[in-house]
Amino acid sequence: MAAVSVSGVSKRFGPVQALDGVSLDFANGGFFALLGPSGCGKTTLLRLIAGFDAPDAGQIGIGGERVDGTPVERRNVGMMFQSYALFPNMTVADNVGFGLRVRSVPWPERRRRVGEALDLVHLSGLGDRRPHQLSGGQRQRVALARAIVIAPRVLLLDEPLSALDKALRVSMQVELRRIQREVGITTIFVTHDQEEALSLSDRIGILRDGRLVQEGPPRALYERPATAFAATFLGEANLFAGPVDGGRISLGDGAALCPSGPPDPGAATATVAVRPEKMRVTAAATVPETGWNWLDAVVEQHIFTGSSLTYLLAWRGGSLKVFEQTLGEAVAVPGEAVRVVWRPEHTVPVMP
Amino acid sequence: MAAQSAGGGGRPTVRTLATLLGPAYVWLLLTIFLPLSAMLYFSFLSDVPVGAREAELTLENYAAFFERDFYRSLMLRSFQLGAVVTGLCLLIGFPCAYILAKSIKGRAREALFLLVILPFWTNALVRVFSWTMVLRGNGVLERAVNAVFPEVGPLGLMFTYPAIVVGLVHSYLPYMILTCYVSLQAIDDDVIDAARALGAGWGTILRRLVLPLAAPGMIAGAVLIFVPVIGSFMEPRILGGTQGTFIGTVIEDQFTAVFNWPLGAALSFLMLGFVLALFALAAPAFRRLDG
Ligand SMILES: Nc1ncnc2c1ncn2[C@@H]1O[C@H](COP(=O)(O)OP(=O)(O)O)[C@@H](O)[C@H]1O
Ligand SMILES: [Mg+2]
Repeated sequence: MAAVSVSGVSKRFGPVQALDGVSLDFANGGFFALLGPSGCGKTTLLRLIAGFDAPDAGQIGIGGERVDGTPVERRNVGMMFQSYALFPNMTVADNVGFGLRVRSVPWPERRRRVGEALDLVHLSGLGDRRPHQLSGGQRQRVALARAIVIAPRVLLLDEPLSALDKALRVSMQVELRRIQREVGITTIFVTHDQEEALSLSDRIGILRDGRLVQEGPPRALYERPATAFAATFLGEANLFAGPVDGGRISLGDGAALCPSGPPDPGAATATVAVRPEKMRVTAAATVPETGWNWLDAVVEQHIFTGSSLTYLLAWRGGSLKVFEQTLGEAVAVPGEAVRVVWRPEHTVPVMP
Repeated sequence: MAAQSAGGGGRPTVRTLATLLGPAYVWLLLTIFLPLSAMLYFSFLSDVPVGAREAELTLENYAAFFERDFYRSLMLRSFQLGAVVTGLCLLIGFPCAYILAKSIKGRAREALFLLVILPFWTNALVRVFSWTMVLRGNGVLERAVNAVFPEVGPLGLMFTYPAIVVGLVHSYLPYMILTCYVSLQAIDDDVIDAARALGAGWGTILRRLVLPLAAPGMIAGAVLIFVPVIGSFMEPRILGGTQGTFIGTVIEDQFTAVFNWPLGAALSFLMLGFVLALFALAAPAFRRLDG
């Protein structure tokens, strides 16, 4: 059973349609990333689930019951804000214990649970500090402890890591995942960072302009993007478009690409996406293996980044990107004509 | 620490400090310390030292306060007035500031702000006299009320204690709204949302978060209002008539009418002393509120 279910939810702020018919199920105990560019409605969706605002249309269920009429105070959700939103007039322990105090949990139990929560986030011993005496990473842990100590039905995190520097962010990602596994709490995590979404979550939902573009496990989303936007927002992709001719996508001049699956039968034209690491740069006029897709291009630049090499290729006035592992083989130099080859199964038809 | 790290290392020298701070201290000395010292000196004299009058040092002026019930009860009455006006300003000003800071956005907020500070731009005397137009018998208020409820009859508000309170609250309310606004504005909306998500109702949020976080503003507003109100003389005199005798009006009389500067000065210093004593007593509570 889904811990949280959102069906057909829309929300409008004046002229802005922040959410437009979004339906999503969040599995029990799962770690779900909501990914999308800034302004696509991620925060709005989180606030609707938490109950700060009511949707204009659609329903929200938590733990199998509809919560439309339940105000945020009684939804029992854990929310962590981008700004952390710690209570500046209280100590760390009082911050963490606030939710328990509001629930009239007696003092001995409250102290025990606050202690456990602080242990969980590795902050034991700092209970008497004030928020302003903590570092950014520590504040973040306090905010997390405060949100989970009340044993909420779902944990909502709004870009919790975006205010941290890169190194701290990576270590907090690991921490967050560990804590989430230990507590086993259903978590919805908002981010605009695709790498973070890929590495942290069991499932990802991609939002764009208030609509859900695609939803699924990270690997499936990466390998089988449904739209050109999903392909380029989650990872990088080379896009090719052309008229459909006998199940192949014609690129003109007799060249044609064989897609992984049959393109939309009714459509006259189709778009396919190819991940840069799936392509290989070979010498000009190399005969590709049977059935492989290929095209001829000219090297514009190659960028060495340690473990891999990025080729920027000029092709018909546009540019292509190819990632290659550095295996010590000969490297094509700028200006050289090359042939790029890849398997048909890596040629994914997408909605334009 | 801050001073050490400032500039290209090393402490600012005594000379630069003196050059930078000197003018400010000279100004303080000239405008506050010297007149105040002169007044303190006056308060120990037996008479105003002008012309051929003989003045000698005495404690009589201070003794007068402790010997005569009249001054003591007036002092108490003034402190009570200060407490009532400050309390009313808090009761009215805090909700206004809250609405301004948290509920109203954009142009409407600017317009309302203008209305709040508008009284500052009018002359205080004009403000008080316009209240007499409103409050006096057959004045604006009485006519308006009687137009709706003819059976009410005369209100008899003019020259009463409530009239003084109304005038003073009107004059000093902007201070409270502005100081509370500043401290409420500094409270992050997410902090309040976080408390709601943790299950807190509005009562808890007000008691445990908003009031403690806004306390510095409320205290600043209270101090800004309380001190001038207990020394006020214009509003009591104009709106209070015979009811308008307070320590402030008595002090003013000593300087302008009775020409007994020493007594006026002594009463002023006693008032200052009581105010400082009151703040000293309240300091621990203030500190706790401040968090
Ligand atoms: N309270 C609000 N009032 C008006 N517009 C809003 C409000 N909240 C969000 N919006 C608008 O809705 C859109 C989605 O916002 P948001 O959910 O915050 O995006 P994200 O979190 O994905 O960056 C934006 O265009 C934003 O300007
Ligand atoms: Mg956001």
